[in-house]
Order: sequence, then structure tokens, then C-alpha cells
Amino acid sequence: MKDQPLSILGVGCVTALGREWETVWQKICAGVPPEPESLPCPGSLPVAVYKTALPGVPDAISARLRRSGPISYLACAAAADAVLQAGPLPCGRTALVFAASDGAVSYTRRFYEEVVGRGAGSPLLFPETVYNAPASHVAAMLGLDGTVLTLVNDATAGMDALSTAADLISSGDADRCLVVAAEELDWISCDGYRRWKLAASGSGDGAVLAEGAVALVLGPPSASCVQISRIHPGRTLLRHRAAGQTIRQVLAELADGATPDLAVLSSTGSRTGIVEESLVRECFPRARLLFPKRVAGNAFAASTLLQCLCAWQELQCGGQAIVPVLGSSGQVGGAFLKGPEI
Amino acid sequence: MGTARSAPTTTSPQTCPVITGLGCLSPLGCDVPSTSVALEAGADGISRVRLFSVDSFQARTAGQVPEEFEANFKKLHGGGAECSRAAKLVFLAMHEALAARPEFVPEVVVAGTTSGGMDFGELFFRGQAAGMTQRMARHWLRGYVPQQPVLEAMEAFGFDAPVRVVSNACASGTNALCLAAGLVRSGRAKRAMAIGFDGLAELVFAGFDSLRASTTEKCRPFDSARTGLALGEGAACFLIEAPDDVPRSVVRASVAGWGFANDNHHLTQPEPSGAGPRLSMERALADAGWTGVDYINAHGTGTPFNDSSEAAAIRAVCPSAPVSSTKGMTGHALGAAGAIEAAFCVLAMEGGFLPPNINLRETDSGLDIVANTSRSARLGRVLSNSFGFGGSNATVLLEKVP
Repeated sequence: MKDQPLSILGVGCVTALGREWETVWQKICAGVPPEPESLPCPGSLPVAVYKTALPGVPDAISARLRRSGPISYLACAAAADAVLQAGPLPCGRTALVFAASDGAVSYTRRFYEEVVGRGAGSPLLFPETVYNAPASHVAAMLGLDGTVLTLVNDATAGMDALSTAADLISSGDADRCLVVAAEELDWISCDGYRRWKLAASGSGDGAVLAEGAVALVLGPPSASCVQISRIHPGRTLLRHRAAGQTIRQVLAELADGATPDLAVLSSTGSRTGIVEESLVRECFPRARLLFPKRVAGNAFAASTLLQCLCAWQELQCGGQAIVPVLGSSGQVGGAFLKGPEI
Repeated sequence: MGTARSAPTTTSPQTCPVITGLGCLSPLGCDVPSTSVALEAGADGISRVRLFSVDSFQARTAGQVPEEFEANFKKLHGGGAECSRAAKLVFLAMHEALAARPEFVPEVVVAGTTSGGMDFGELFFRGQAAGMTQRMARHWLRGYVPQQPVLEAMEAFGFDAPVRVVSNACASGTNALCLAAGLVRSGRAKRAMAIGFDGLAELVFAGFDSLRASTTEKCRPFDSARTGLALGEGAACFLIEAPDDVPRSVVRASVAGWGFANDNHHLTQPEPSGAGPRLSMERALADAGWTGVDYINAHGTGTPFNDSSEAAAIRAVCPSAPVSSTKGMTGHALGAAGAIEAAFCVLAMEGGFLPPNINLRETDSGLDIVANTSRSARLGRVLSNSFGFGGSNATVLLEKVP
């Protein structure tokens, strides 16, 4: 694993906890989750969720988004906030990497519902169902004409995006990379996750499903900024019996002998999360643990970037943090972050 | 790659990542040898859709992988109904690629797809309304997510590697090939696997039908009277390695360069002047340090908008290169298309022929279209274009290694 450090130059987020990062961060620190909504699922049990109000977006993109679903609004809003904080992006030298686990699930469900119900779907819905529709809107909003990629996966999609950004910057293909991850909720995906036992059942196990977006503007390493110093390329847990050993190995490779002060976990409180927590405690007994999903809910790829955002916040005055990610498809990865040299 | 490099590097066949294994399933065949024969012969792989009812749609045809692939899968894998169509395609493409180089263990797998295991997503949707067991619900959901076909194949072949899944609409397959090659070129990996895949699915068929992008007659790329695309399906898998690490005898071609560009014109329509495709091709040529190519495998979907935009771009960048779109033979395999067509380029270089652009009657493209029958040619340098919804444009350059 070759280190390809990145500086975090700007951040933006839109979550059920709010859009102002300071507010979101305070709520995560307080550790008190909001009251979830109960989302009805036709023919099935309701699912507890954290919905996010449709955010305002810059005028430059509002007309193009008029037929778009929530995920594109969330992505554009978070991206706009991150770019506002980072300052102007270098024209022609900025890449965009978008990550999602579910994509535009509400339009996909509505379109197929029409196909099954009346034999044809609306041409207004179909184009917005493709995974890269949100990225295309973000690129149009910012006038990005270079590398624009959409990566999909379980929650590790967020790490895939960071890793791709590191590749693009270190190889000289881009000077800046805007990484955005977003998820939206629809009753069909919520019902699916409930059946998959990935949604909170109401008995305290598992995080509440959430929607939202997180964006990071990344650049080459700088000693004065919080850095993502290492991104693990990832492993796949093919054999459950060896899973613990594989996760331990990923954690060790991420830390590379360093002792993190903080671990921002992907744990949702599920059985997998308990395994993650125990292994992190075993490997890094002195690290303080943070569980943002237990407060903000689980928005899969977006939550992965939210973990990084929490680490970024905590490292403003120095220190080191590890951010492991265990995905629902049995993939594991993570990042190691360092605070600025003070 | 991508945006103009700050310090352009001219690559040579000696330093470029090389393709050492290839697997391909398309409507032209279930493996590389049969595909190569059908490609040179200009076979028509498009027929009436047999996977689902098309009675309510305007379009009725698509390119479908020959039915024998199901039997091949059962024979080699042992399973059947528990796997999505995409998972079967991925398994077989990976099997063929690895057969040439059994010792190959990838350090990373980069996949390109638009719809993953969509047929299982459809089953879940229908099951949700009609009732289904908890077990079936979980099985269909797991099979639906885009990474699952790759993870299942990896498990079957017994290797563990990080998986990145690109879903950049119809440029995904080319993006995946280029990103995998990029990881080898930059030294991040010594061995990478790239795979593009998509299985035909009702939802996607209905989508293109709703946009009236699908033709109700023959798919005729670059024909003056073209009426739209036919959908297709398939998978192509590439083993990519650093050139110094492999014997020359296993090298099938090198990945000489690539370029990506995004045009911000419209979610589904290309910018009419071809600015995006032009930028993508120019960036690829600059990346490789080339000034021209011997053949262009065009994206050439057969829709009025795509072909006129792409033709304008090709006229501006490589006006004299012979051009064909193979989608008249295969249909448009979406996220698999770029990978399949890159495989076609390798086969064309190996076989010494220009693949034909079938169903052409008259063209207004202003290009040297390889009309209807293949041509013999010595090909050293070829270019393959892939464009997609969202303004995604990707170009890959492949070179024959002497």
C-alpha cells in the first residue's frame, strides 16, 4: 500500500441533523439521536428513518434539477457548500468523484412501478435513475469538464472515491478533486434493508436508515491542513471464519505502527458493528471511539465520508485518527488521518 | 488520463500496461474465438427479446448473448437460478480471461456496469407486491447491488481483492479498463483486472423505449436514415499487468493511453458539436503521445444525436481513420459496451481486419465508414470511444505489441 496523502480543503454536508457542519457536529458530540420518522412500506412493516429536508441549491443548477430526485439536490447542496469553503476550483484541473450505495432509488422504484403497472414508464423519470445522474448535475453546476466518475458499492464506496481521488491527484491528472457521496431513501429500499436486517428493528439494534450527502474538496498534501494520509485499498471478507483476522490486518495496515488518538467507527450497533468495535478496542486500546452513525443514522456511502468529516473536525489541532469501514457486502476498508503540524 | 496532465507523459509500448488475458461474451458469441469469427463476418446478433415480454413496448429487439451461455455457466460453475444474469456473465468472462493465465491473482478489480444485477431488483420489486419469503427477499437484494456479480465471481475463483465499481452510464466499461490500467501504469498495482458487464433487463429496456431512443427496425449506426439503438448485453474481462513482469508471448495488446471528458450539456443528449467526445479523444491521444490511429471503434449507437455528434468529433480529430460501430451487430451493452468493444479492437488487431459497420445504406457522417463487410488491414494503433448519459465521454487507445 503506497501512501498518497490528500489535504482536506473544504467540507460540506446535508444531513437529517442539519446542513451547518457546526450544528451537525455538536449533535454528534452530544450523542443524542433525533426522533426517527416512521416510513410506511406498502404491504409491509414501517421502517424508522431519518429523512432530510430537500436543501436549497444554487440558482445555477436549480432549473436543471427541476425533474431530479432528492439525491441530486443533496449532492449539489453539499458540493456547493464544500466548494464555497475551499475557494474557487482550478478550471480544467478539478476532478469529481461521486459515490453512492443505492443511487436514485425513488425514481427507479417509481419508473418500474409504472412499467409493471401500465406497461410503460415515464421518460421524465428514467434518465434520473442512472447512478451517475447526481454527478452529472454537480459537474454541470460547477462547470467541470474533466474526469467525472461515479463509484457504487456498499458503504466502502466512500473509501473507493477517496482512493480514486488520491490516484487522480498523485498521478498529476488533477490538482483538486471534489468527492461527494449521497444517499436518498425510498420505502422500497428501506423495506429491503429491513428484510436484509440492516435497518433498525425497533429493539435497539442497528442504526436508523438516513439520507444525506457529504462533500470534501481534496488537494495535494499540505502540512497546515488535516490530511487523509493513507487509504486502504480494501479487502473482501469471503470467509466469515477469517473475517476477524482480515479486519485486524486492515486496521494494522492502516495504522502502520502509529497509535491513533481517535477511531471514528462505521458501527451501527448491529452485530457486525459490535465486531468492529471490539477489534478496534483490541488493536488501539488508547483510542477514543466515536460512533457518528448512532446519532446521524446510516446513509451508507455518505456516512463513510461523514466519519472522515468527524475525524477532520477532531484533528484540527493535531493528532491522528483511524476511520474503518465495514460494508454490507462484506467489504472492509478505511482511512488514516493526521492533523496539521502545529 | 482525464484532464490535461500537468506534465504530459508520452508512453511507449514498452512502458504501457499490457493485456495478458481476455474473456468476452456478447451477442456475437460466448467466448473470444467464436466472437472473433462472428465479428469479422459481420454477424447480426440482434433478435426479438426472449427474456421478458416486450408486447407493451415499441421496440421488440435486442442483442442477447447466445442461450448456450446458461449451459456453459452450469457446467463450469455448477449453479444456475441462484445467480443473476449479470453474475453469470461476469463469471464466464472472468473464467475465460483467467484460463489464459491461471497464475494471475489481481491486486484490484475495477468493474464497470450501469445496472448490476437488475433482474434480481425486478424480482424483489415484483415479490414485494406479490409476497415473498424473507430468504428470497434477502437473496434478490444481495444479487441486485452492482458489486455483487463481481464479488460472487471472486468467491468462485477464490481470490480476495479490493473491488471498485464504476457506474458512469455507457462509458463505464471504458472507464473501468482505463482506471485499472492507470493503477498498473502508476505502479499502484502490478496486476489489475478490469471487467465491464450488463445483462439485459426489463427496466432498462423500458427506459430506452420510453425515451424513444430504441429503434423499431434495424440498428443502423452512422446511416443517414438511422432511427435509434438496439440494446445489448454481455461482459468482457481484461487481465492487465506491468509489461516488465510478463513474457511477451502472453501479451495481447497494450493500453497506450486514455482520456475522459464531461460535457455539461444535457442529462441524456450529447452536445451537438461533439465537444465532449472531441476533448476525450484529444486527451487520449495526448496521453499516449499519438497523432493518429489506424482504426476507430466508434460509440455509434445509431441514434440521430449520438452519431452526428461523434462524427463531428472524429472529423475534427482523426478525419481519415477508418471507423465502424459494432453496435449494429451487438446492440448497445451499456456499461459492458466499452469493455466489449475494446475486446473487439484487440481481436481486430490480432486478426488483421476492420470490423464492419453493418446495416449501413448511406451515410452522412463524412467519415470512412467500414460499410457492411470487414476489410483486411494491418492494425497497430486503435481507438475506442464510449459515451454515456450525464455527458460522460471516455476514449481508450490500444496498441498491438510486436
